[in-house]
Amino acid sequence: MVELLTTETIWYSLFWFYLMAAVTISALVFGFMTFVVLRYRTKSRNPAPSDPIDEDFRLGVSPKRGGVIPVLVIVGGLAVLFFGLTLSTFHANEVMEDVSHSGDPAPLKIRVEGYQWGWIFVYPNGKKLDGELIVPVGKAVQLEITSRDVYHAFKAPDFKIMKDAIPGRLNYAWFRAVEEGEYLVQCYELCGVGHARMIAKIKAVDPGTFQNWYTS
Amino acid sequence: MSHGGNEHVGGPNPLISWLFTTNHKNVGVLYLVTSLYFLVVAGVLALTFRLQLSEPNNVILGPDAYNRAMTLHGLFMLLWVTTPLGAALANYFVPIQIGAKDMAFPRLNALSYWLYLSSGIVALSSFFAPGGTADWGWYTYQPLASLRYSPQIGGSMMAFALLLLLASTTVGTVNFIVTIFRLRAPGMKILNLPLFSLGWLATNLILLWAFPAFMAPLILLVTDRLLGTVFYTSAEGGPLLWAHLFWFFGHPEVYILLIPGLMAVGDIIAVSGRRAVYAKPAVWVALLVASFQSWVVWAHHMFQSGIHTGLREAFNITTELISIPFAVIVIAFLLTLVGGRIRITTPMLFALGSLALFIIGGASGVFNSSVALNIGLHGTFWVVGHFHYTIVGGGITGLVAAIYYFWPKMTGRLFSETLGKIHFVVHMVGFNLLYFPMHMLFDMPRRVYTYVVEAWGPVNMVITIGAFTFAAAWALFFAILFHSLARGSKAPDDPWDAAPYSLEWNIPSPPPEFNFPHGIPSLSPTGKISWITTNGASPSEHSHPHLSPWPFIVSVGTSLIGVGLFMSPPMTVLGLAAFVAAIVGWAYDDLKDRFKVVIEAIGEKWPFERDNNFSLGMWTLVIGEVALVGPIFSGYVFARANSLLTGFRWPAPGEVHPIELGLLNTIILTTSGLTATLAYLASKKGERGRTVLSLTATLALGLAFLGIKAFEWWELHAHGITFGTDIASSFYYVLTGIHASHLLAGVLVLPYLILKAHKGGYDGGKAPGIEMFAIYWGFVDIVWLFIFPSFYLL
Ligand code: HEM
Ligand SMILES: [Cu+2]
Ligand SMILES: [Cu+2]
Repeated sequence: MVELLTTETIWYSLFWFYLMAAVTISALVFGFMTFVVLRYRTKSRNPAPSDPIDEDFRLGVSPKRGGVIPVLVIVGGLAVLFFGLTLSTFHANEVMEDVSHSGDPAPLKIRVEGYQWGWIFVYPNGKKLDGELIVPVGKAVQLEITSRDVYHAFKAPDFKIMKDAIPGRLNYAWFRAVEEGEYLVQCYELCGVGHARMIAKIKAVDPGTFQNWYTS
Repeated sequence: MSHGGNEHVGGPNPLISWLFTTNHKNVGVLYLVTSLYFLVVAGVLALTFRLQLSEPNNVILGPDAYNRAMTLHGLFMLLWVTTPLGAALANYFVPIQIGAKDMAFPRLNALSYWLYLSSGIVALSSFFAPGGTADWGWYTYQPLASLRYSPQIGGSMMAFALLLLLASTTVGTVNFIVTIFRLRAPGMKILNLPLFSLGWLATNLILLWAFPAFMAPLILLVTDRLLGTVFYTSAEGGPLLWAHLFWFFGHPEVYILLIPGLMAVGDIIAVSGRRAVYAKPAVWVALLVASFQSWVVWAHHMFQSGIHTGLREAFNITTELISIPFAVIVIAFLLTLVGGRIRITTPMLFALGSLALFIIGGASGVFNSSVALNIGLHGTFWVVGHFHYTIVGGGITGLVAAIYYFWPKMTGRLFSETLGKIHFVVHMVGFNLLYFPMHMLFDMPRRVYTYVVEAWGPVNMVITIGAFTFAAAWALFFAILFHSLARGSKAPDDPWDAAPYSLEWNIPSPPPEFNFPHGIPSLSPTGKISWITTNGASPSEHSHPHLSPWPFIVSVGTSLIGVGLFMSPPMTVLGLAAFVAAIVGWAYDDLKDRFKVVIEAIGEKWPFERDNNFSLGMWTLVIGEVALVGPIFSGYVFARANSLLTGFRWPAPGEVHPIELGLLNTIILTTSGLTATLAYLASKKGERGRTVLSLTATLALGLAFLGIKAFEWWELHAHGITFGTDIASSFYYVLTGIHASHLLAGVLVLPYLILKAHKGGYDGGKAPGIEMFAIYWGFVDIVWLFIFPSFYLL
């Protein structure tokens, strides 16, 4: 069976890429910091009046300290790094954002309505579920997200999808469950006292079961 | 702080001298004590909710209590703790570092502090208001924070307290900008300033536009809640209007929190390594570049709100780019140490620690900036980890380093280095236990009072243990400071061998009232310090013309108004009376020339040599005002653009607001602009009669304008068009209301100016009061020139 594209795999591979870059850069900086401190550290310091180091140590700008080159190296180096990171981000974003990249010509379209405090899922045939979204495994699902009252945020962390649910606005996201099971849906924007309990689940079932339920 | 009021202020009663002081060092100490007190309050709140979160399905705090504690914690730490802590050290040390005897406007400086305190009092009182305080999180998303979903009075009180705080800070900002630009010692160029002062200047340049820009959406919130306007409840304004305006302030705010600490770290590094700062001009340019960049990144807090993809990608790029100037700063600090002789002291340990934590926070910020990764990270504990690393790690840990560094100078006492080093270890261990594991919770939503996913439990437990360890570090910190006050050995003038690096290490610890006993400091082109001796003492040591009761009384008034407005009307009346009395008293002091400001005649004033302190102050304030009115206008544009989508029809020209009346008022106001200018010109020539005449004409025209405006409002109300009729009427009332109240303030000042001119107070050809008035009046005129077409013609 060909491996189906999922939003979470795209997200995680991007995340590891960023993490590698971050760990490498911070390791370099921390290494340099440790080196400098250990190398130039002194226990007893009684600078002689003629200590040459002191000459530059005064109010204002030292003419001898600091060149353009290190600054350009930092700016240039980071710019190149960010160029790479950004390109891969944009690529990932394009896929995660647009259901047409899912490879599914007929994704299941669901309307999601947040309210204080729960989630309602409306299917194309008018079926409506509160607190549970049943989807067939393998199918791309496109969500149209909005709110009935205050600002909420829809997120299913296992699929790494999220969009704010804003009254009067529609936002879109898509995902695909490749394994049967139950997945968490929760509100990720403070929306009042019920915020922490504004939880629903995505239930991924095999396509046959789904079809039976959907047409019943 | 043990030296109390006596040493700085003198006078018979130490309590009175603390309350009425205008000396920058005393004000600094007041800020320090108050902000640390608020830090403890907000910290204890955090401990309560960390306890609640230590295990899944815990029941220590319910959702109500949790939301309030969390909101108060966030607002206090960001607005009432971190910036004021920086302001505390800045008040004490910026005047000294630039070589001034005090701030440019000492009474305004005291006013800033007292308004800050009263805003804090109002904010804390809101906790005890019926229904509790704000519970909507520090960024106050709409419409949750509207009256419909959060009717509690405490919420409106909090909004009022915030306005008061922003006003207080803006007063301080104007003061610092004038002080730093115009009160520097001879030879002290901007780039000669130590990094802390340089950073404080950069911070204030951001504060100047960012805080008024926050007042804009807050004013709309307050009118929504108190007067029934519909900015955030209508489809044309709505939640996104708030979100855009809020984050336009929100991102600059995080730099405001960071820069003072980060720049103090730079000084401490230079001093401990005994090296000149590496590439100091590049550090300064990086700060300025970052300030400009902070104008164009706000949407990275709204990546999931449905902003158009292309725009989001643009904000992705601008956001990444902000790490470049900060990388330049960090690397410059590290290169500073190369070739140095590093002495590892407690301040140096904290400085290095702060830098390390900031690097981690910067790295996680780059993850957030990715539009794709942001989908997984937004709204989770990862973000909480990120901003605590930057703010508490970079900003506050840096300020702890700065407190240690400056402590011997402020108190004249040394602290225990051994205890300081232990404190450092506990601080770092606690900090990292507390905030690092948050990055592992990148699936867990933030701001939940509890959670059901068992797997998140253990990490949360570690975080809570970290929180208590970190709290212990703070307790130890305070113990060390008290120990030093009580038992510390006497500090020398220059405990860090930093005399060549910065002026404060060349004067006694603690410094005398007017800072420089050896004369006026001056700098050679190579940065060597020498002293210009003045024969003749500084202003009389025995009289105390620099005490003023009015700032304190203003603050009593505003506190009473703030609490009374929401809880007890008689209290409001009392507050109003105190407020008016204080303003009148203040003006009377001025009329009689009772209050003396100590300012040296010579000094470095680039690039404002041609201005005077008053005109520069007024120009600065006007920039702040533009930053206040501008966002409201952009809100107006936003709402009108949205109307095209929602189908709301804005009234046609002349349909609601009669064009003739608008035109008449436009003519009246522009004429008054002319008369105000004439008054200024006449006063410069010392022509008393023409000055009085022009001022009186201005007053008459101003009153005429207000009369017509009042008539228009009256007519509108009579036709049933109120604040809450629709988004168009909301904007009309609020914008014209803000404009009219500015005009009213000017009209109230005019009688004073007329009186003073009439008595010959401006005969000498020097009339800063009239010059300031003319600048202000011109600004008010120009705002009208935007309002008129927006509501009457378009
Ligand atoms: C070095 C480069 C930095 C980058 C690229 C960066 C990026 C970001 C981004 C994209 C967010 C939004 C995260 C989200 O909610 O989805 C964010 C949040 C935040 N950042 Fe940074 N940041 C940086 C540095 C800083 C600094 C220096 C500070 C403060 C001193 C700071 C404080 C904050 C705060 C307070 C928030 C969260 C606000 C909230 O949601 O309550 N950041 N940052
Ligand atoms: Cu919620
Ligand atoms: Cu930001």
